[in-house]
Amino acid sequence: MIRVTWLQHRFMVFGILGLFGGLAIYMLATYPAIHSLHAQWVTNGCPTRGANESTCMAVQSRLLDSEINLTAIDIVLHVIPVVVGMFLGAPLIAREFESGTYRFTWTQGMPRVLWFALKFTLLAAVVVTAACLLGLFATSYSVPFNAVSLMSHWQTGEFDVTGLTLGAWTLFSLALGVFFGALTKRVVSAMAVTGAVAGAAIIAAYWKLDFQLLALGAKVMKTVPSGSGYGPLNQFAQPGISKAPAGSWLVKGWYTGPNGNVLTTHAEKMLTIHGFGESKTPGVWLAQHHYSYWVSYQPSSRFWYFEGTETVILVALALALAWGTSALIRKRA
Amino acid sequence: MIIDKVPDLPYGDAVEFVSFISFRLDVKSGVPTYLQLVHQVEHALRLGYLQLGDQLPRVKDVVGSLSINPNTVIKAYADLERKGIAVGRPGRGTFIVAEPHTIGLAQLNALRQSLLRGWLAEARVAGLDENDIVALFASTLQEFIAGAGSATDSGKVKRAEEIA
Amino acid sequence: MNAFDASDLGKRYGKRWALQGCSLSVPAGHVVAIVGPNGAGKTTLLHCLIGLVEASTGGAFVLDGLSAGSPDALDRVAFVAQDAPLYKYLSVAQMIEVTRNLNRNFDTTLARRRLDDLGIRLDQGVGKLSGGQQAQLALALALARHPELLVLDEPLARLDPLARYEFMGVLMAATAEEGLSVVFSSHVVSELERVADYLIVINSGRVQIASEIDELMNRHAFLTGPVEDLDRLSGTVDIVQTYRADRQARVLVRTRGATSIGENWESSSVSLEELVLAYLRDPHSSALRSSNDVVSHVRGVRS
Repeated sequence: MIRVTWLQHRFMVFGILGLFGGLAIYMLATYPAIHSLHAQWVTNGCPTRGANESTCMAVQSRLLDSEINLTAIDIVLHVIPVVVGMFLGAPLIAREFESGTYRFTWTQGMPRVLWFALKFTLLAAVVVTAACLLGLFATSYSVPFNAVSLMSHWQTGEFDVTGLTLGAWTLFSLALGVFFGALTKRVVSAMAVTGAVAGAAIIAAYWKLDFQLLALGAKVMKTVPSGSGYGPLNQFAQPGISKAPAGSWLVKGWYTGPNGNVLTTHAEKMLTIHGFGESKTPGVWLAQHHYSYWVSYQPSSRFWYFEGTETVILVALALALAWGTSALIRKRA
Repeated sequence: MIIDKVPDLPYGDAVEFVSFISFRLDVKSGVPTYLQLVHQVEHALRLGYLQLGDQLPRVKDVVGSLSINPNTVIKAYADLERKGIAVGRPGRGTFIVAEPHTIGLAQLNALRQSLLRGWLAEARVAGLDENDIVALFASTLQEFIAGAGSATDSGKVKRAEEIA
Repeated sequence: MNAFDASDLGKRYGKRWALQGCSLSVPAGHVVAIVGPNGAGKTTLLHCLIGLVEASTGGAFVLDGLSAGSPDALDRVAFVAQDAPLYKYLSVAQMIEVTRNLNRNFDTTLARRRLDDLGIRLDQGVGKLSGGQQAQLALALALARHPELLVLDEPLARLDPLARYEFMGVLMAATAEEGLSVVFSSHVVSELERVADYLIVINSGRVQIASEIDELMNRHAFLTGPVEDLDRLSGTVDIVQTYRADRQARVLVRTRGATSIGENWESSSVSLEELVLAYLRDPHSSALRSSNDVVSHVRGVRS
């Protein structure tokens, strides 16, 4: 079946691997410059006291200039699963129906569900492995940016495209493609629907779902506000600025008053503007006035648990879609 | 379906099977296909194209070149076997076992000419049309066969029955 | 052993019944022709037999009781669909590879030899072959599987006369060599007589005729006689079609065995084509079953 899969899909697999490779080459080209900056940052001991502040700021500023690279790379990485779903997944079964070759293929000795299972597994193994490798490379690529706190691996731009999650999104998208292919039995329709649904899913994750995931089971602690300090924060803890453990993900912040009640948004605003906002030491002011600031957060040690959770959800969905696809091809002809 | 499987040579058909005769079909004649094959074998025997011990064309070769059902050829060969003209040897083919009563082409032509110029010409002069001629010949032939008795072979007797 | 059986087989698409109440019991070792007008249900019946389509009612079985489409059936039954679908973007050699990988037993040497005999080169693109060559390739691939039953859907429809002749020649030779059962559908009757020895006629989704052709021909005749005697005739034979004139009537009849017809009636033989056309003209005319088929309606299946 390896040979059969190869003969039928080699061009598309080449195209996709070419896309992966092109991106990898681009990353490789800019990697040395960016990582030498990182080396400087580390040798200098930034951002602790004693580090040469102008050097640290210079490194940070140059990385800021290159941030557009990382953004572009992240965008392409998010598009990759959609491409895989549309161009490899959607035609897999739809083409057999549209060209009528299912009447040949599904009357040979190999039962059609086995045919599909083997083909899907083989193709998934190739593209998912490549996606995982690319995701690992992307994570390594963004280390300097994370180090200077321009970005964080908790942020949705990076969270969805690590060695784990990029692979999972690719698998999910591929499964989506074959499912719609079996459902619509037309290549172009399947591609369109797959592109729309996979794209919508990734966008939904980027804008909303990831934040909802990261809010689950968050720890709570008392700390000193930085920045706006209330409502959903959805940001990474800057080292040295906020009192939250460095590297953690801040989900939500709120205040409690002297009586222990949570402040309303309006009251929070009043407190900020007329209260500690003018003080140089907000923490002291709050304590003196018996206010407390709380923050819910995910400690950095939990990062890979969340990565794993998203991966498991996507893989489960992919398997469900694959199962649904086999149910469809068993019935339809 | 009984087929006369002739095993292929180990290295594929390195040697082409040689067929002594070839068949042709007349689809419009109204004569059943298998009978046409039988007649063509008998005719070939009579003219000496086939001799005692010769192998008849393999079933698969006949159907391959004529695009007809194998059962038809099998039926024809079975008919020939019933008449005692050929015998099927499983795994090897169908072979001629009867001594043909051959007649040379020249002799055949001489007979044709004598019929044409003799009896048929006279019959026409006497005013008989085609159907009269056929009827007269058929009934006289039957008389002749009956009168000749056991001297004729079974094949020729069968032939007469088909015409009548 | 039977080549295939159908037990009250029916298939519905939405409200329309493409096939209804089909009961068949066809012995092995025959070349079976399924004939009927376009849209009569031939393709549906074939697709049910090979497991591409799930029946709405009843069941289809092949080779002595194997359920159609089951893994055992898939191994032993080969199919060439209408227009001989193949992967057009592959080469002939690659097409052979694909087929080999999808089947447990596949005789690559045989496939290559057949194609060589036909002058089809292995490096040619499948899409570049002519219609006749593609049909021959599909047939060669099917035969190389050494099936016990070979099913073909309108294999000759798009072939020119020479290609048809050659295709049938190859098919008949393979049939003789391998002893396999063949079923093919056609909407042209005239090309059947040479190759088929069992006939199934389907009209408007129902089976009208299912019989060995020899028996079919023996039991039908054209009778010519006086119009006045028609009524008396219908008592002794089954009338399929009547052609009535002022004084003379011609009837296509199905005899009920050794009954005498009466002195006024002259009998002449009927051709297969005339017979089929007569039945097709009247979709409700009673179907003929050969004697071993009589109880097929309530037949259980030998497993």
